[in-house]
Amino acid sequence: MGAFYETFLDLTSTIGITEPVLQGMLIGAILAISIYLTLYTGMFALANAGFMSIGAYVAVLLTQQAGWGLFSSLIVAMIVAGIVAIPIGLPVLRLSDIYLAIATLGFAEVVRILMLNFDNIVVSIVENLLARDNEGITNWLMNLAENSELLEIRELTNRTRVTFELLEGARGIKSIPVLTETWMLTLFIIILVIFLVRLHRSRFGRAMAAIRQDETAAANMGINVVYVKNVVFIMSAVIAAAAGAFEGHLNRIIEPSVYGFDRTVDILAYAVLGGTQTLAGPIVGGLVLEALPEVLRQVQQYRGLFIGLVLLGAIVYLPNGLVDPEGVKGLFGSFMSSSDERKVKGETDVV
Amino acid sequence: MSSKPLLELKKVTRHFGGLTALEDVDMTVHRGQIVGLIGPNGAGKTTTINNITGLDHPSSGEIYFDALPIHKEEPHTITSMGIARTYQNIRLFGEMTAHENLLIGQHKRGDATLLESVFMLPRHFAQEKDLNNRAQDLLERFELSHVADVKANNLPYGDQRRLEIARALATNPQLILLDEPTAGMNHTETRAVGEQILQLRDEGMTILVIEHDMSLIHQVCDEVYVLNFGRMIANGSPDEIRQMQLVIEAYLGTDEDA
Repeated sequence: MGAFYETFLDLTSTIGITEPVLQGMLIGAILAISIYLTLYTGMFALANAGFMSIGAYVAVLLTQQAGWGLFSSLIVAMIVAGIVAIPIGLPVLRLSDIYLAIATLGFAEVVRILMLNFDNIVVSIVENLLARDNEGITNWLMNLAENSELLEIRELTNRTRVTFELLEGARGIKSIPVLTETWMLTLFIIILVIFLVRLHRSRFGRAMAAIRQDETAAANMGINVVYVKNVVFIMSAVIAAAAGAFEGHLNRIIEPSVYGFDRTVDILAYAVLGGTQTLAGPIVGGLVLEALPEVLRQVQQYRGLFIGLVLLGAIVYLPNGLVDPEGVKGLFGSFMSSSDERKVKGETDVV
Repeated sequence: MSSKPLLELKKVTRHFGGLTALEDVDMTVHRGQIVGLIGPNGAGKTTTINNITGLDHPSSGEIYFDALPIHKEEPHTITSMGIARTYQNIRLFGEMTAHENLLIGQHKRGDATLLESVFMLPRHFAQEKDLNNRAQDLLERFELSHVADVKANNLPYGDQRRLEIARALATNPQLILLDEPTAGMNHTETRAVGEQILQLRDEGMTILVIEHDMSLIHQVCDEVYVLNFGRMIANGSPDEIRQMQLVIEAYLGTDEDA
């Protein structure tokens, strides 16, 4: 197995896919599955980057500060993201289409800004508490500061200086232990795929598809639309958090800017490129889009141009994504047959 | 006929902003009846059905189903209580096959949880077998077996209409609300739908049917309610309704209008 893997990497590295690139691709695939779940249920939710950030920060704090192992940190990070998703989902999932997209995007942005300013917020809270001149509270804070490496309270001549360093704001958390390995990512994806295949064959999975196709009719079939949507949103958040936790322990550094709007767009692009007709679609989309920048290294500064062209081409010629059997057939068909035949075909389809 | 009504609307009023779609609508449907609801376009027929099924809620007034208040319930609760409906414009799950549409209809009948399905526990398979069998029965009954694996969007119009009724039946209802089941059908097809409605009643179902086609109303209904501008202007047997001046005016307009 190990030898096989070595040969595999030797082969792929000739086109630029080295092990770190492969790991990035697998992270992309996990994120793609995360957004696939919500899209499959007809929810245009873009909170994935936000939950990813929550997952990354929680897991990294647990391994770095508390000295936990990757596995237990990963589980806790997933649970935390799931719990955060509940109060977000309940009000927000009543919205639909572009309104839901904006609201969830807003959430992701709030998370990013919160991570950015977390240390400052703590400092200002502590300063406010000290300013109250309540002896009990002051003593308690002083005690806390003495026992903790993070919080520092220094009495200067005319004022008190409070410092707190946990998330380190825009500089990000550095020198994170590299704990994630390729086999973990592969195993995680395999588990996810099995879970999703089973999900599609369950009553719950059918309800998800029904809600996407006609929410009102689904409700009239006895499906609790609010419940299904929230559970799916939580599942999506949990998976995104796992991707964040894995990625945090790959790159040695996490900073809030990694989980901004750009990331959200990237994740959406996985689903657009691969298509959400089948489960394989977003996974392929995630793998391809993460691999492209490396594969296209020869063209250097024109990389972005090529990636844009690939996306544009996919949207124009394969609107349902790369993984869409009918679409591929239709594409070849359209090159073969004359435009008149297509027109006739189109008309019969309508009737 | 039992004295306790299956469905009862009491002074149901619905405002949309300044517009009054329904005003003090009273209606009673007894178990085993086929009741018709007629009225000109825009009279509030579909609003009435939406209020009964929980897609919309009355501004004031009450709706009782089997003596339980349902005017504040959500659609899925009302469905599991035993009310099913079809739509004026067909609303099937177009990307799913006819068979799958009937599985969705049985959503509440299933009892396997998500985890049981994911871990392939026995209950999942027992449930799927049960749901599949029921779907097969319904397909046979509505002459849809030959299109079981065709996507609903690709079915001919008549098949789509029948599939919608089959799907409503799949929810195991006591009361079915049919919103213009014969829209766009010719005379023969309309009669066939009428036969099916009568057959449903014979099996113990109660039916409320919205219709424009008076021949169907005559064929199946025990009692008819007439809505006009959101108000219930008359009710009685189909023959009585035909004679009423008010109803004729509502449909054809008064002399002054003409």
